[in-house]
Amino acid sequence: MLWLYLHFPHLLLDHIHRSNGNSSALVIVEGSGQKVMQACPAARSLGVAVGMRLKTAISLAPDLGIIRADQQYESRVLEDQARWLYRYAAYIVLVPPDGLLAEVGSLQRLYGGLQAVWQTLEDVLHERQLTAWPGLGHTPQAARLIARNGKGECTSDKDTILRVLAAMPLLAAEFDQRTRTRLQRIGLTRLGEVFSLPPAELARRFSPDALKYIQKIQGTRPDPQSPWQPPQHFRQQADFVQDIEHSQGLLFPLQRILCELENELCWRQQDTDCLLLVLQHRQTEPTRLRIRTSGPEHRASTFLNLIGLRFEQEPLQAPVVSLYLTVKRFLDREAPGGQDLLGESQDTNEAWHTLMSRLQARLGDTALVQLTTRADHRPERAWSTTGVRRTHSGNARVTTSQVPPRPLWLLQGPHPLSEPPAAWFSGPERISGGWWDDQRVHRDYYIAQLNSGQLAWVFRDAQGGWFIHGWFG
Amino acid sequence: MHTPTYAELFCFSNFTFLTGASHPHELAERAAELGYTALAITDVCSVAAIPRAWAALKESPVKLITGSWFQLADHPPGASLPRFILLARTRKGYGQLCRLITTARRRAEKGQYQLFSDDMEQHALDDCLCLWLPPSTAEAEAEQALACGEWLLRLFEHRLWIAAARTLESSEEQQLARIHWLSDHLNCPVTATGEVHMHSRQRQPLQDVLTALRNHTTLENAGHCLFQNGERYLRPLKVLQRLFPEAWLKESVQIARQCTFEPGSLRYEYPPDLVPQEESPAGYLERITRKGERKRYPKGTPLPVQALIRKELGLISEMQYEHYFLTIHDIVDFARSRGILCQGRGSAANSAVCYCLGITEVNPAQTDLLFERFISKDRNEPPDIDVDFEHERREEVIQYIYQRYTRERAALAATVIRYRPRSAIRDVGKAIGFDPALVEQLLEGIDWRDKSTNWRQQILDKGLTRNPKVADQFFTLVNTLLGFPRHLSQHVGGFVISSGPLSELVPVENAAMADRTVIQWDKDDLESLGLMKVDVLALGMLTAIRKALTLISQQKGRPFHIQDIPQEDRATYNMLQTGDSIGVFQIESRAQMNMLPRLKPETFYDLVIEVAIVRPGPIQGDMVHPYLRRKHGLEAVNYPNDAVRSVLERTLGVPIFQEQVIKLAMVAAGFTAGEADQLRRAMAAWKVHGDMSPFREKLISGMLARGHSTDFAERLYQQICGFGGYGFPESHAASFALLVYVSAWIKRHYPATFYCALLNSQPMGFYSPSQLIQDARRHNVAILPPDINHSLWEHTLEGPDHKLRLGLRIIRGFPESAANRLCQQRPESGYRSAAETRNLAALNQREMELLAGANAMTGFAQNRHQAYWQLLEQEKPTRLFAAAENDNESYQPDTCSQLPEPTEGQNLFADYNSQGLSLERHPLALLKAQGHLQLCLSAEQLKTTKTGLPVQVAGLVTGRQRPGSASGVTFVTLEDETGNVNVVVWLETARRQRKPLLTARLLHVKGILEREGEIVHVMAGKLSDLSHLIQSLPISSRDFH
Amino acid sequence: MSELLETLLQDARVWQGHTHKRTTQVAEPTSYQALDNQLGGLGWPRGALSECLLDTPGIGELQLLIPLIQRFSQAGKTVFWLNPPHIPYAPALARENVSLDQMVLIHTEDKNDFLWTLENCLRSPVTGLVMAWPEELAAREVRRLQLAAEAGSNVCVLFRERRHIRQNSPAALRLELEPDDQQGLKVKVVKRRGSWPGQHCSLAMAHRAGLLQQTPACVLQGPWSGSAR
Repeated sequence: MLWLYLHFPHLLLDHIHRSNGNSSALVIVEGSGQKVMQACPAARSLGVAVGMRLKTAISLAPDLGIIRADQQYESRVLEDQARWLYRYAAYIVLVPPDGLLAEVGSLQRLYGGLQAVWQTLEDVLHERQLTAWPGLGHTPQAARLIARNGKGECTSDKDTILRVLAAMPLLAAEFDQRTRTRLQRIGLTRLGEVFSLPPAELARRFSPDALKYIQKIQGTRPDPQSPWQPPQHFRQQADFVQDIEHSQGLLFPLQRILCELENELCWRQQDTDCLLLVLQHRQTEPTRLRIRTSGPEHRASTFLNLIGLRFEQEPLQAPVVSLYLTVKRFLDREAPGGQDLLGESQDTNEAWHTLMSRLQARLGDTALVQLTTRADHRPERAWSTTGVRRTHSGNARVTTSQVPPRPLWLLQGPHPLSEPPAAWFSGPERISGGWWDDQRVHRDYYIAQLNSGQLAWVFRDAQGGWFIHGWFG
Repeated sequence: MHTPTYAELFCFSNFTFLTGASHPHELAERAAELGYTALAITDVCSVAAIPRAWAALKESPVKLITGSWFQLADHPPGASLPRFILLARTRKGYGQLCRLITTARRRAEKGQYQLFSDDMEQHALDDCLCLWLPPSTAEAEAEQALACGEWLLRLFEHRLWIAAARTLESSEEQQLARIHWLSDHLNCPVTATGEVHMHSRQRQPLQDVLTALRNHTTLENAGHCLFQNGERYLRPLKVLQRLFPEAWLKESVQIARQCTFEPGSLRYEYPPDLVPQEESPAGYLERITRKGERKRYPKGTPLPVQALIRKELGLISEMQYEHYFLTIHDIVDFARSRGILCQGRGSAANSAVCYCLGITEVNPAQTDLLFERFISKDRNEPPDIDVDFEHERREEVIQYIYQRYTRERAALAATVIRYRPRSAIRDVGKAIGFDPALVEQLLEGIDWRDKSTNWRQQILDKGLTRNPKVADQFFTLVNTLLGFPRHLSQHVGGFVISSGPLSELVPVENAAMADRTVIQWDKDDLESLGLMKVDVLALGMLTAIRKALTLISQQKGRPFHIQDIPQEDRATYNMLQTGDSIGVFQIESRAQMNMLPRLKPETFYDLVIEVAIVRPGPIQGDMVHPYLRRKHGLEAVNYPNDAVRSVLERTLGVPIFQEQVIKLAMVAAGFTAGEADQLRRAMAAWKVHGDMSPFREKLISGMLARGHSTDFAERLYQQICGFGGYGFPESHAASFALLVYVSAWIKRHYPATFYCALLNSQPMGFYSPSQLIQDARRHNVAILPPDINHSLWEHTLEGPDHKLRLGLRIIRGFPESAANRLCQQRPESGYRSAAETRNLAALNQREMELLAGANAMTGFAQNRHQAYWQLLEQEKPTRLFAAAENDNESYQPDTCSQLPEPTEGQNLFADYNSQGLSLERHPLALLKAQGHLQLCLSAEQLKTTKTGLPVQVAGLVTGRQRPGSASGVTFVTLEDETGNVNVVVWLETARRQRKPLLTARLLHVKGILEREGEIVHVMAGKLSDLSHLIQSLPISSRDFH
Repeated sequence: MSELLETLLQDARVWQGHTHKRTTQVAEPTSYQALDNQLGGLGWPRGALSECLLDTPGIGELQLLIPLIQRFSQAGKTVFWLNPPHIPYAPALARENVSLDQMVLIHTEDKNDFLWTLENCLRSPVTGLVMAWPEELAAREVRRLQLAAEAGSNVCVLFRERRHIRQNSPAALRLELEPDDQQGLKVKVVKRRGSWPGQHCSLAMAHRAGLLQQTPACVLQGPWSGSAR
């Protein structure tokens, strides 16, 4: 067996650069935000180094883009890489957070030699603008160490591989902290010196695990791996360093994702007719756009056109911080799209979805909304709409006494009060707040009955104007 | 319509942390403006704001009422959770309130409180009034509310009111209906209250921010945690009149009228325990002073001192300060009985009486310090004596005080921790919902000296917000939040001791440290109320001096005390004049070392000036150069008149000390005693909230009118500003100068002893052990490495030539207990193997590894690698048994011939890892031996290089400083094999070469040599990072330094 | 949910004797005793149209339906608001213990979409109640809706202007709504399938603004007296 290991020294940064189409200095910082974990080449050229305190990094590069490390995010991006690698190699192992392992011994014949495999991979990596250090080894650990130290060569010769390993400094050999310290303390500096210690002494004076590790590198102990299975659906995400304010700015990253999708569909020999595009915003609920094609489709250009049209109809509600595209529905190329839109199913859940998608298909996604309360004193901000979704009373029940009397109808906007009310019932209730988001409200609310018999929620604003804001319907 | 009268009885200040949005003085001033009859400050389980509110209302017709707000932690049977305000009616009621707060605070963690209904039953509260805050309809059923009211009514019959507020919030109508109903059913009167959280409606944004912070959320998500509006402010009477029935407003004034307690009436009663029954305090103080006098002056007291003692005793007795002096004497006496070295300082410390009582070692015959200058009859202000103790043993003194006076009667003063720019920006940013990483970025980029100009722009630039209005808000909020109290912490050592239970004078609460309690007032509060405190401080140098004296006593074979040190020793002054002062108390900083060769101290009083002159005050006042010129006779000394002469004569006509400046304001600018006192207070406080500018006009015009130059007047004003917060009185300087002299004398005459004692007192001082040891070597002290067969825990002096043997304490992380076992169990002939060491001294693996890492086992392992190899052998039970049977064989060291010898570089780095220093060659020496850095001059060579020459230097970066006062200059200290090189980097140079400046561990500098006297700097031009050279040494670890 | 439906069905069965031959047609009580009495104990018909005819909003017209909305939403049935004239205010609905998850708000652009949407909602088994605010409706359009309503068994309430009172309508129940004293609602039965019209009653609705408790006037001496012009 021959193993290929791909080490991505700054995978997240590559991923982000691809979505943003620029190359300003970027770093990933650890969760607490104190230390730099990854630095892109631009940042490194300014002197930013991995392990540096963020404070120092900022002093060196005042305009540094900072991204907080996120394990989930990282593993998702790694999985994206596995997905395309899967088109070239069937036996893949994920090595989080930043490595992929593939069995390539069996591929040599397919591609016509190791050199061809190596070249193919380099081309793909280049095309994808990914920095990856490849390494070959006769064991998974050997391939991994060689790759992570950037010592990869296109050779399957075991002696060469062992020689490279032996020359490797201890620090690079990735022993556990304790073992490494102990090896250093007795004056050893290279992996080869460890190889030459008698195995019995190694197990006795260090630990059986240290011996096992050495043997796994050398190949004298089996090192079974569990292969990765590709997921059934397609999902790709783009994250932006700076918020995108116009939909035009989303097309570039979308194009890349849609090309990925096209590749994936071609490889699967499948089509789709429904994409879900979710735009995430900083404060507000994400925008969910369901893109439907008229028939089964796989071309990126078609998808992009549809999305472009959609953007023209619906301008962005808020700046976008990231987006993802998912496809869950795959149609075989030959099979006719025999879907049952009306769905006379007994299952109410399904009936609900059928009805809603039918309504949305005709009226557009935004024509249908659901209601929810928000904790805010300002009446117009005490509620909001959400896209329709099937949930079951996730809302915590509020008891009557906690909510002050409020009208069942709220006017779209305050309406000037044109005549003095016939009777006043309660008030003033003073509401003042919202200075922080520029929607400051300063009003005295009253309940009053108009001459028409309508019961109104009226207020006086800071300028002394009187308005109707709701009806007690 | 007539104007109603009103007393606000429900008011939170910002001492209800993260709730109240105004300072106590803002509330007080606003209440006065509005014409309120009275204002009660009612913080949550606290009276911390009272002294500040009192100071603001002292001169005003508004009566200050002391109160506090409480919520119980449990329900009385069948009742809703009681929430109420207690107001102190009389001094007795105030004591009851303090006691209750103390109970509630002492049982909870720091910053919290817990009060149960049982406490209310058990505490006497008969002199407190109670305002009940009934629960809302959402919180409790009517019946439960009624039960709660009945319960309170039973406790506070005829002293209970129902508090009604009009906040104009949604549920107000129900609440008012409930209040009416309760009032009818309980037959209990209702009073109007404002539920005040801020002095003005303009503070609503800040109040919202505080609320969001308290709830650990952002404004956006705070939702209903925020108040619905900003009505909780001090509202004008006209508004109140519209909102409340007149009877309710009147009721508030009725309540206020009943409250007669005034904080100014608090008097501190000093513990009388120390005075024998049959004696008067004055008589007793005189008796023990005379006793001390005979000891101090066995050959008879000099006449001037006799007169001084008489005068001081008279003054003390007149002001009734005997107990204060006796208390300090008692504490100092205790320390002395335990052999703990101490030294008094502070305004009254260097008096003849204190010298006789042993509080200070500064001989009044030797200096010219007038007691009257420190205690004045006009200023009705308590004397202030701080006592420094050995830092390792101060805890014994503190425990003695607790034991002597009990926790009932002794507690530490608090220190109010306030919002500073960084914390304010961080917290406001958090509440507004800015990205924390971006806020950090903003903090990094802010130039603190550049106040308002590009703040807004920076906020916008960093992408924190797109909204320029929010950016403005942010700036305003940060500025308002600055100086807000965040929490109470413990003062470094200010003790308050009282004759009665302290908790009836001021509430006592828990500090973060176990077994520490603090009162709710800080130092300034105590001062404004005229209460006395004793400062029990820790000073590392006293530890070092005591250890040195002990060693000298051993060498001499007889006890040797501070008093035995000869005065005015020429050799000592000669040493100091060359700037050789590393390790010497107070004058070892770079600035002080620069001053020594210029000032050339020759007498004790020169040291007093040396200590005081390198301070912001004299420097900002540009008084340093005139003084130096006059001292060296380059400038004539003259005085405009005798009054000025009397103030400035001992400092050659140049004001150096804080009190000289104040005195000058009187004699040269015509300040009255009262104005001078105000000036002094402003100087003490202006860093916090004061402003010196009101004095400027008066000072300058006064001085011009009396014939002084504008220049001198302006400089004096600048000096006054410089003293702000860091004022340095002469008496302090004298106390410090004594320790300067003592430590310098020891360094000069007993160098090995001096460094040994310093190293045994770490951590303290400016310099690391590594730097001290290098300095020791430069003074020809031989240093020996730690060794399990020779070292003790402490560093010791070995042999007749006093070699300094490093102790095991130098090994980082090695526990003292293990060291003691190792020394006790050490065989006559020393340990023979790792196994023997481990077994006899019962050391664990980690401890053994630390010893191996320190290369402290050279007796049987020729190097570290071999030592570690021996340790890697896992303990086997058979070996243990064998050990018992056959010592010699089993304790054979176990070596491995395959292991490489450590190189010099490896040893060097291992030493640094283990001890932070190495006795091997310096890394720079090593690099130079390998042929690197050939063009670089060493620190030693620089001393003989001409000024103005281009030079190259290189060294390990041991310090990077950007002092606030020096405009953008960065000082870098480089260490090479011969000493330290001082590099000065100008702002422009720094900006262009950020990377090497900030990241290099080994820095190479091309620059120009500059010299001033014996002081040498390199003005940096090109900086290069040569850290890779360190990497190229055969290293074993990434961590170095 | 099914338990509740079961009870509802059982209730309906009890009344089947009094009603029409159509065994599928059941009804939902309005939960206003006075009105239920006027409607022969039946309430809102299911599988048929109901009309509420009124001049202006804000007289208690929604409060009339709140008990029904509450019941349906808590039983997991969807309640549609089709082209409402104002925003159904979520905090007020929450205060009435309405489960907001079941409220779906739809806005259509033209009448075709409106009719199509209403039909689809009426035919779906997930629907409990549809409230719709149509613009002008021709008689044949109402008939078309009536047919759609019959296909399902939901409650459908159309809110129309009072001037349409003279227009013929196939709706099974037509109510005329007017404001009454004490913030009450006067309800007149204009048409009721299978019975004579003309009954009327007045429903107390002051609680919709929380005006039930009489607060002592002496307390609330607020700035509104005199300040409101």
